[in-house]
Amino acid sequence: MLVSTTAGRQVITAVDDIAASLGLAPGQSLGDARARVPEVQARDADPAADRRALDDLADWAGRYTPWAAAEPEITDGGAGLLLDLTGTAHLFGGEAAVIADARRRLARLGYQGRMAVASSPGAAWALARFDERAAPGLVLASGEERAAVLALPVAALRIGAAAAELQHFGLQRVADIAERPRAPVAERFGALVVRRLEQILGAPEPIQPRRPVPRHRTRLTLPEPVATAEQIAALVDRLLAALVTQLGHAGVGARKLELEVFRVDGAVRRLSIGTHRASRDIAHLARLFRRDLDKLDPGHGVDVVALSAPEVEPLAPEQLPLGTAPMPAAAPLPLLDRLTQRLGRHRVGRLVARESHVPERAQRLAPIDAEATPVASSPAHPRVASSSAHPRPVRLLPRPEPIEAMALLPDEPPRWFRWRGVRLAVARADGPERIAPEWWRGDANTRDYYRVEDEQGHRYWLYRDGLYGQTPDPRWYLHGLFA
Amino acid sequence: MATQLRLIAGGSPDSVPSLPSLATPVGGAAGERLVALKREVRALEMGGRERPSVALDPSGRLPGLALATGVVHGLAGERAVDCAAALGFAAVAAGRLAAAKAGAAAVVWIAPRPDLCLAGAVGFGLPADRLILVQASGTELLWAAEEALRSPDVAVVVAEAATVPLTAARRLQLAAEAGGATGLLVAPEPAVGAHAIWRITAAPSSPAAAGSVGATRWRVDLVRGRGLAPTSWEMEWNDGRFDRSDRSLRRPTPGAGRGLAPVFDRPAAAPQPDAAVA
Repeated sequence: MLVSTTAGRQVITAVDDIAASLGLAPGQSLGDARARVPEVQARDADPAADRRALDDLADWAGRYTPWAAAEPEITDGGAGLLLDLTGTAHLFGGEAAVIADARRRLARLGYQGRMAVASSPGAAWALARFDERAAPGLVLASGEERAAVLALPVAALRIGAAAAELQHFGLQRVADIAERPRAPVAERFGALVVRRLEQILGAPEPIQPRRPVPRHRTRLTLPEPVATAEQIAALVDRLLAALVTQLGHAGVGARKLELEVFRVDGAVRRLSIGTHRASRDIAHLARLFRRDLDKLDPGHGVDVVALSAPEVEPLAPEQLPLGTAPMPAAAPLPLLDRLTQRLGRHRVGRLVARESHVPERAQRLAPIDAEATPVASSPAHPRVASSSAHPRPVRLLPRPEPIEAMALLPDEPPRWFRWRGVRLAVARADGPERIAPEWWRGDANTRDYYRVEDEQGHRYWLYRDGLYGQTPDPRWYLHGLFA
Repeated sequence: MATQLRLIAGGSPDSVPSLPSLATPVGGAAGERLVALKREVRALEMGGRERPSVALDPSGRLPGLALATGVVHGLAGERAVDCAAALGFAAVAAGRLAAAKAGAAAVVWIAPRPDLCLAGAVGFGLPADRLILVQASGTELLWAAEEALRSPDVAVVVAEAATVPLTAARRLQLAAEAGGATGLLVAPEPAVGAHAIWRITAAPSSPAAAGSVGATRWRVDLVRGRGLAPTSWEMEWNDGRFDRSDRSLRRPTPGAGRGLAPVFDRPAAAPQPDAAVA
């Protein structure tokens, strides 16, 4: 039994089943209750905690529909949730199935509930509270609703104190007002009564969802709860595939995605990711989620997962993210997905040639884009050739390594050089191949490249950074290894 | 050896009258019979599915230089520079193996650093349009290699590994047998547990080049291989094909390769028209 203090008087606000069976009811004072049932246990009511619990329940109800709201006020009729099941009930096998499922789950969480499904929020509110059939859960066949609502007491109209006034005039049931002309009723009892009457009879009334409802959302109900990050990651992949299809039809890409997991203990956990640009790249988005999935506490298990795109931006179907390579013909797609997911998008790709004479810029690793059209075969591929005039090594060091080198004449290859602590004598050499600086990229010096071979037959690609006479002290570098 | 003996015993006993002593080198007719027997054993070991081999030199100038498909080969080089030679060899092998596989099967190249130079590798026949480059190292590299080997649309997996533990090599071998792709493990040290171990060493340019750097030359040693005898080749890469750079095939040092003797004991007088290049 819960009590609260109002105007210096301790008043019962809620009773449990046992207290109710002993004749105690909300509204009585604690003193009266103690006199009647001396052993009654009272606790202070905590409206803030009630509010939080109700909000959590509204989150929990998001498993059935994103249009879930907690009632703004906790009234004497008990706290309530309003759910708009339009278009979602069939996912669970109908409205009756939703009711049965919610009842089962709420019981597990320790809640009792009265539930009703009706065609308007007003009617559902009233039936859930005042129709005795709502205790197991009420779903009326079409055509029965109006009669059921008309039979309810006027308190079902959500009009507070005005209900007592109506009763005072002998208007006991909703039907008693519904049969009268509206204008005199509004004049006598206030416009609210008439508006509530229209709403209980089916007038539309918006539900203010607890959270903004995204246009693009997809959800999965699991037959068995899952608890591991891997299982959730697999579900994310499935949700992403469905959501990305939705986004594709709408011509948009996601800027922000939110994953909601509904735990069996009733709690809801959320994980958001953002992208730097609108994206429909499933592998990319999955990777963003994967990075943080272990932060998502699945508790004892998760039985519903939902993925929504709260922020989207237009993304034309043919528009590809920059810097991606088209798919090679007959690409091993499942393999690419697995590699990309574990290693990251920028560590799996194709080497593509670039318009640059500077060797380290002549190629780059381009991520493979699954949405790109496959290229047929070699003719379309960027020209890459290792001509005898400009031989290229097989291993090009990402960063040229400084070497100590000794050349006899300014424009000659070195006679020997020291690389990684080993002195190597040059037995043969070719060159130079002069590569001009790309000054617009900040390169300073012309490079003279030499291909040299040591006495064992190992071949190296060396260059002198700068020309004698132009650069004060040209340095030597090793840039690559020939096969 | 115990495995092989058991399999022979379970095979067709009447065709195996007596087992030659495997500990001592065998030559001549006995050696040929041994090779035939080993081939039979290998066929049994592979569950009857004999993997075809792909010759690296289709014109036949380098007899015996062929890579079995659906298995893992270790390509060894001693230092960074020799690994460069092994990379070149891997590029040649990848090109040949990819061309031999039906469909436009991919070549997956896995390396810790993105330092494969496309222009250089293409010169050795690496098919750029089928190449998928993966940057990974350590256990991720081995994982990626195993995934790629299991993939049906992959012809060749080249992995530049620092070291390959024995168990990892076995896993890769099983993955290759399951998926049908051929694995090439390029490592400074030979990968124990691979189907065959090759050592690729750079060799000095032809003296004919006279002071300038000539065509790429390698010495390739088949250190050991299941059902194969250790063999060496010296070769030169000339515009998309191999030439022999040495007229005589070298015999490996005695005692190498588990005591198996070379069986490619071909007469040196065989006509070699292209050898005159050297």
